[in-house]
Amino acid sequence: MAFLEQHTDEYLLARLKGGDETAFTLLYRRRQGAIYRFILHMTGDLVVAEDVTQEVFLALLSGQAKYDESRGSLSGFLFGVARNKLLRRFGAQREVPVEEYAVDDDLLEDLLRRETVERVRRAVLSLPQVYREAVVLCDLEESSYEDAALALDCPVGTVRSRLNRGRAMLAQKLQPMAAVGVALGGK
Amino acid sequence: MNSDDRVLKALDALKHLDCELEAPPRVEAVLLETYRKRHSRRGILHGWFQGITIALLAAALVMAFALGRNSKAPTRPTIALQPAPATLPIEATPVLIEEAVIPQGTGRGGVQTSTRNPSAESVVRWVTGETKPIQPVIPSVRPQPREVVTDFFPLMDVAPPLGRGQILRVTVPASTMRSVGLPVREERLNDRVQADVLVGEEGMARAIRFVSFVQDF
Repeated sequence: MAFLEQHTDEYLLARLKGGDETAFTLLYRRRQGAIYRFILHMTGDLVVAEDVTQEVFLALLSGQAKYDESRGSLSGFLFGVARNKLLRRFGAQREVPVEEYAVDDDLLEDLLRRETVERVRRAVLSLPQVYREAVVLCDLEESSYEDAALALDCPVGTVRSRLNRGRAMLAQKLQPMAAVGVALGGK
Repeated sequence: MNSDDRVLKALDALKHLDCELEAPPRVEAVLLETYRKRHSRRGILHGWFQGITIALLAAALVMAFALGRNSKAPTRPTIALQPAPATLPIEATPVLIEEAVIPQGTGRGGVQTSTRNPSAESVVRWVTGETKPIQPVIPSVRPQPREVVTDFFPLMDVAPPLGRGQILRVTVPASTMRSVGLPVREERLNDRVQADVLVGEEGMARAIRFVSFVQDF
């Protein structure tokens, strides 16, 4: 397994297609977290995040989702599959339910911080879908513009402009939070 | 801190809080099970395909080997036959089978002519069509075909006594069998049969016997 860990996603994908279970496990563990978080940040729904993550990898296994290495990274491709599955599920104009996450820490400081972060989460969830996608991919998942463009099926320039617009909208939504900037570490 | 910085700081806080979030282990379990099912099915199909391919390749190799043995003229013995009184349309370079020591005074030309040998009868039956023709031998793990021969038929009416000689394996038309008195169906006259020719020390063809192969099961 240590030998395979050094290899690229594309290499692992080729191995798993040939029946290498270890390659599949490694690739899944390497990419599932980002996919899961992307869906979670897009929907705010833990159940949907779990379901869609499973669907994404099933599509990869079954060959339903065909990856073309020449078009970009496997990471960007998987984000794109997840996005398409979300769009198919909810449509582009879905009203995103905003749910609270359970907080199991009693420390006041941590509570305050978490509460502040939850407000950020809700602000992200309230962004229009196209801006939310760009913010989640580029800022929360640290995808490159190229990967984001592959996932969103749009040019890199569009990703940049959506990201800027999304950040601007977030700034407006988070203005009341300036007072609690301490909780976010700002001075 | 401007608004952009605040936004990036806020997103960074969210990112760090959620960075440990992952799909529950049950998702991996379901996917792994699906993966194993798919590949076990594919493995079975692959195994069948591989087995058939190997069998076909093995069959092709053995057939090619068998054809090569039949078509290539062996170069081992290069014995020039003297013109014999009975002309044999030999079609392949003869192969020396064995040195023969022929007992004196047996039959015409010193060769036994009995046809009561059941092996000989089986060859005759095949040529005359009384039984099913011998099927081509399919190369496999079966035992090698057993050679069946007729008795020798003399080729010379009057021949000097034979002390030593050689037996050469040749391929002749089935019509040769008719020339020594064996019945051959018309449509089989042009078939090729193998024969052993007994050649005396003087280089003359003294007698001939016909060879067939029987597969034992």
